[in-house]
Amino acid sequence: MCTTCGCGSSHKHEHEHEHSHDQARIIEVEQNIFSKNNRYAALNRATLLRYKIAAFNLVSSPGSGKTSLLTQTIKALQTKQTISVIEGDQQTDNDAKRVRDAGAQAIQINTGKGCHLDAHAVGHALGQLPLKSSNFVFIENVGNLVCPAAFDLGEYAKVVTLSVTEGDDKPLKYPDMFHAADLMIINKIDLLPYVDFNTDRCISYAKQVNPKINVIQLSATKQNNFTEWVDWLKYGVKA
Amino acid sequence: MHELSLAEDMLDMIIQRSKEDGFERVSKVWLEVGKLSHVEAEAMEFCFDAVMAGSLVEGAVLEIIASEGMGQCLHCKTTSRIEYLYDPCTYCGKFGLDITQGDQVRIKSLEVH
Repeated sequence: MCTTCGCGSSHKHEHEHEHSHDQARIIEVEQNIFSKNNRYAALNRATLLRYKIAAFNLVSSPGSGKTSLLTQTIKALQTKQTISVIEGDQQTDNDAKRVRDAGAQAIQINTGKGCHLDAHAVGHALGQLPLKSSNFVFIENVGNLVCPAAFDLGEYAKVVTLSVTEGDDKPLKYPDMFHAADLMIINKIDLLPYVDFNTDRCISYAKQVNPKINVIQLSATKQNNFTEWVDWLKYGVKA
Repeated sequence: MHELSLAEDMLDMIIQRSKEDGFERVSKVWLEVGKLSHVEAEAMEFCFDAVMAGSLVEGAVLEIIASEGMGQCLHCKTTSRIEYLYDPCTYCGKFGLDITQGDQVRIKSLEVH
């Protein structure tokens, strides 16, 4: 008699489906479901390290001024540094055009229905960029304060931008992102007199979620306090 | 809804595992979802059936095991149970906890045939 399912006698396992009544067994897996993304992120990190490139993953909600921050940053850095950019948007290559006009190499990734960049897509984009001659890689993630928090892209640091035209309680409303970020930029500070944004409260909420987070307040378009950000990029040490 | 792409990654992992362990069908998946993780259990349940359709995991039951969030205080070093990433230390009331449990999402085990 078959010891597995008890069927027949002198049962031989030569036919393809030896157990029509389908004996179940349980196997242990213990595998992180982010492990596939994390494996690609580790490869990206190794590639960036090999070329001695500092890569920054820029995240925010739509409309915080990430692309303006990026174009101004390219202008500030490009006299001495070569910059490559990976642009992530659901559709269009408008942002890639803007950063190319500012003087950087750019690859656009359209995520289609996707809400975030993943390490696999970023790895392919890195392969198309002139890494040998680049000093910085900026990855402008899809405007979304939820999903991009979960996906390591292999960056050196994650930078979250929040503008003063948004709510100052966003660090508590979207804690995953502020917990994951190394630096919070409070953008559009030139508009502070016209809006109801409490900067101190915003910073204390961010520190509540992530005591190690660095904070820089600036205006990208008006260039207020912009050198602090550029210095952080050049010399800044991760929290 | 990043749970959709994570469900797709889960399917890839299970297919890979089926080659190593030689099973043809999966009837149950136990998934540990930490309360402080980036995954919403309901969203994962919603995506699971759609992603697994037509695969060896089609029709499988998804059993989600919620794991509690725990964090060690950077100040007093005690470990507290927390609901949210912005919760203070239960003992000294200060903010700043190193998450020690509840930020993981793991396939624990599979019932296979």
